[in-house]
Amino acid sequence: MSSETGFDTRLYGRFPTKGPRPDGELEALEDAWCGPRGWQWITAINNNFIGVYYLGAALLFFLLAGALSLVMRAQLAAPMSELVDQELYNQLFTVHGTTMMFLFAVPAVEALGVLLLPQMLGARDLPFPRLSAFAFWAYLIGGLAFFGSIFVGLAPNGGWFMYPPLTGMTHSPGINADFWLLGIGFIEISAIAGAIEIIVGVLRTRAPGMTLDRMPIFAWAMLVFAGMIIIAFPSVILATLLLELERAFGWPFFDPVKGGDPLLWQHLFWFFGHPEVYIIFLPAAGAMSTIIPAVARTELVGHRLIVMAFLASGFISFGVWAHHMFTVGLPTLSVNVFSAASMAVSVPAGVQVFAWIATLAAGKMRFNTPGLFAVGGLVIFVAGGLSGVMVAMVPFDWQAHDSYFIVAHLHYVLIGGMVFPLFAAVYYWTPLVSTRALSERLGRWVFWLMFAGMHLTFLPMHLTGLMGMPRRVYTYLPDRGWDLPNLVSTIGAFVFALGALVWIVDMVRNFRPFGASNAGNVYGGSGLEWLPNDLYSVRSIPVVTSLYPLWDQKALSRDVEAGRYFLPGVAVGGRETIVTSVMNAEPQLLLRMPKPSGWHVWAAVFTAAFFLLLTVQAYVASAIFGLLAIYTMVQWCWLMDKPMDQPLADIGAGILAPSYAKGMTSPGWWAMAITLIVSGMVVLLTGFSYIFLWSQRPDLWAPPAGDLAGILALLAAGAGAAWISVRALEHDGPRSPWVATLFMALSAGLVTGGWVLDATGWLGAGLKFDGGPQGATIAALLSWQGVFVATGLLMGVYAVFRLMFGYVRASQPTTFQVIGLFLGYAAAQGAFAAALSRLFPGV
Amino acid sequence: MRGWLYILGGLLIWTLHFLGVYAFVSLAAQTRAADTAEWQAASLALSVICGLGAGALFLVASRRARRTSSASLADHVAALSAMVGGVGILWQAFAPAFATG
Repeated sequence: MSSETGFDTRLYGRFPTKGPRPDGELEALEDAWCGPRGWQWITAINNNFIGVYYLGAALLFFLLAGALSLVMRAQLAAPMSELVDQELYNQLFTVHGTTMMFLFAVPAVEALGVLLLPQMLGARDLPFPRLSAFAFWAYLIGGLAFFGSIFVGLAPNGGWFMYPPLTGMTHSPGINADFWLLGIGFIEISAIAGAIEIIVGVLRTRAPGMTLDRMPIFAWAMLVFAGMIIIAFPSVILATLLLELERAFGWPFFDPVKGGDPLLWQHLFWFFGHPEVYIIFLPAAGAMSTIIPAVARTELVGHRLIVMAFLASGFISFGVWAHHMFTVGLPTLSVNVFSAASMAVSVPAGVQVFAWIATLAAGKMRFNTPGLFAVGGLVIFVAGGLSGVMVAMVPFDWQAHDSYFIVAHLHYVLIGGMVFPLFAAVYYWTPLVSTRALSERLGRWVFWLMFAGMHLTFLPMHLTGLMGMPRRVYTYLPDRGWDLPNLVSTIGAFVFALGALVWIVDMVRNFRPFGASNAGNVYGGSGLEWLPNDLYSVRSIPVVTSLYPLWDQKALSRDVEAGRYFLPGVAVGGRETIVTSVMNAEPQLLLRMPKPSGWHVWAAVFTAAFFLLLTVQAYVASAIFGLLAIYTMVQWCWLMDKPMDQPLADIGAGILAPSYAKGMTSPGWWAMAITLIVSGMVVLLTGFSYIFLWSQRPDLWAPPAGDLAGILALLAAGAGAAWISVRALEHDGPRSPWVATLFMALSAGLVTGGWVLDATGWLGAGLKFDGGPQGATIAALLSWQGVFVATGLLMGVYAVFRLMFGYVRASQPTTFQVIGLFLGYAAAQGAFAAALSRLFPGV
Repeated sequence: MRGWLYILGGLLIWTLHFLGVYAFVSLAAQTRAADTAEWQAASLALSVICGLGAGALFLVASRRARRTSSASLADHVAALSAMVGGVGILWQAFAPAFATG
C-alpha cells in the first residue's frame, strides 16, 4: 500500500512494543483525563459525559413527545370527544412532531456518535470536545424552552412543517409561530456544530492503520449523516429565517399578495425535510449493521455494498424533495422526474435490508434484546418502505395525501428505521457506559410491548386513511367507519407507552453510568469500542489491521491495556490524541485537546437567551445577550492556537509527530471550511429562492442598480489582502506579524466596503425591501452577507489584539489561516450575491 | 480529494444529471422553446453524456477492482456508486417520455 503522507508504514511493525512501561505513565494519563467534581459536571467536555448527557436528553424528549401523543390518541379514541379543544390539539400535534424530529431523532443519533465514535475510532476524544459540549447545552436549553411553550399556551400550532400562509402574520398572529421559527433555527445550529465535530472526527482521528477499508460501518454511517446535515440543514435555517423576516419586517417571500409564493417554503422545507428522514435513518442503519453481525456472530454480508448504499442514500435523497409536493400543481414533467428519483432512492435502502437479512441467515442469530429490536425494526421498516414506494406513485399519492395513510407510513418508517434500532443500540451499548447491562428479561417485555403496540397503533391507520380520514383533525363524526380503527390505534398507543414505562424501570434499576469500570463486551462485538477503556478512552491507541479488530487481532485487548501501542501516556502534557490522514489513517500530528472550562456553557446560555428574547421581541435585552455570547466565544477561541514548547513529540515507539498543525493538517481549518460550506448552501438556496420568485412574478422585477464592477473590485482586493496576510506571516521576517495583521485588517475593511457599496447601490435606486420579492430576496442576501461582514470586522479586531499580545508569529499561523479563509470566502459570497442580483434576469 | 472524487464519481454524475434535468423541466414551464426539437435534443444529450460518464467510471473502477488480488474498498464502492448512479440517470431520463407519452 502506497503512503498517503510520506509516513513509513513499516514503522507499524514496532507495535506492540516489548518490555515494561515506565513508572507513572498510566497515572499521568489518568490525571490528565480525570473526571469532574462538583460544578465540573456542568463544564465537563469529555465525550464519555457529554455523550451520555446528550443521549439522555434526547430520550427525555422522546418520552415527553410520546406523552403528548397519548393525549392526542385519547382525544381520538371516540368520535366527538371533548378531552382537548381544537387549539390545544393543534399545538399538541405540532409540538409532538417537532419534538420528535428536531429534539429527539437527530440529537439522539448525533449523541450516539459523540458517545461512541471516539472509542470506535480508537481516539481519546473527538477533535472539538468543547464544541460538542456547546452543541449539547445549546440544544438542551433551546429544547426545554421550546417544549415548555406548550404549558403556557404559546406553542406553535401550524404543524411540524409550518406551511405558510397558515403560519404568516395574517393567519398566525402572536408569537407561537416565532417560537418554532427561532427555536428550531437555533437548535439546528447546534446540530450543525455536532456534525462538524463528527466529520472531522471520523476523517482525522481514526486509529493508525484504520484505512477506509477498515473503518467501522457505524463511522461510515455517521460520516454520511453529518455530511447530509451540512448540506440539508442550511435549507431549514434559511426557510425559518425568511419566514421570520417576513413576519417581523413584512419582507414578502411567501405572501402572494405582495408577489411572494408559499410554494417557496415547501421547496426549501422539503429540501431539508426529505433528506432528514435519511439523516435519521442512516446512523440507525449504521447501528443495525454493527449490532446484527454481533448478535448473529458473523461478519456483515455485503459490507462494501452497504457503504455504497449509505453514500447513494446521501446523494439521491436530496433529489426527492418535491415528492412531498405532488398535489400542489407542479408541472407533470417535474412530477415524473421526482417520482423516478423517489423510486431510485429505494434501491440503496433495499440493498441494506437484503444485506442484513443475508447476515442473519449466514450467522447463528441470538434473539437477545438488541437482536429482537434489530429484527423488529427491520420488519417495521420494510413495511414502511413498501408503503413509501406506494406513495412515490403519483396517482396513489393524490388519493392518500394528507390522510392517515401518510401518518401510518411515516411512523412505520421512523419507528422501524430509527426508534427500534436506537433501542437496539441502547441495549447493545449500555454495557459500554454502565457498570451493569440492562435486564434481558425486562428488555424482552419492552420489545414485545413496543412491537405489538406499534402495530396496533399504526396498522389500522392505513385503513382509516384509505377510508378518508384526514390527518390533523381534532375530532370526527360518528358512523363513518373510523370509530373502531381509531379506538384500536389508541389502545395500541397505550400498549407502546407501557413498553416505554418498562424500559424506564429497567433504566432506573440497572443503568449505572460514569463508574470506575463497565460491564464489558456482553454481546461479543468486534469493534474497538469494546477494548478495555476509561475516561481517556483506550490506554494506548492500537494499529488497526482488520475490519473486525477484536475478532481478528486476538491479543489486541491485552496489548492495548498494557500500553504497547501509540500514545501510551501523556506525550507533551495534558489531554492529547493523534490526528491521522483522511484515506489511510497515517499518523500526522499530536493534537492537544482542551481542558474543561465554563466558556462554552456560558456561550450556550447567552446564545439561547439571545434567541428566546428575540422571540418575545425584547430586542435590547436580546442584543445584550448576543454581545455576551460573542464575548464568551471570543474567550473560548483565545485559549486555542498556542504552539507547544516541544515542536515534535514521541507518540509511541520512538515515532515523532509535530505537536502543532498548520493549514489543512489543522482540524480547526477543517472545521472552518465545513462551516463555510454551510454558509455556501444558505447562499445558494437564497439564490434559488431569488430565481424561483422571479419565475413566478417576473413582472415585479426592477432593473439592476449600483456599480457591480466597483463591488467586485473591492471584494477581489479584500480576498487578495487576506491571501497576502497569510503569505506575509509564512515569510517569517522581522516585520511579518505587523504586515500580516495590517493586511488582515485591510481585508476585513475591503470586504465591508464591498458590502456597503452593494447595499447603497440598491437603496439609492429606491428598492424597497418590503415592496416585493426582488427587494425581499436582495435584502436577505445583504443581511446574510452583513453577518459575515460583522464577523469579519470582529476577526480583524481579534487579529490586532493577538498582535498586541504577541501571538502573531510564523510558528503559530493557524489563526490567521482560518481568518484568511473566512474573509476570502466572505468576499466570494458577496461577489456571488452582487452578481446574481444584477446579472439575473438582466435588464 | 482525488480519492473521494473517484469514490463518489458516479453519484456526483447523478447529481449533475439531476440538477440539469431539474433545470430543464423547471424552465420548460417558463419558455416556449421547450417545445422545440433542439430543447428536447439538449435534454436527451445531457442524459446520454451523464449515462456514458457513469458507465465509463463503472468500467474503469470494476477493471481496477478485478486487477488486484485484494481490491480496495475505493474501487468497489466507486464501481457500485457508478452503477447506482447510472440506474438513477436511466430512470430519470425516461421520466419525460412518460410525461409526454
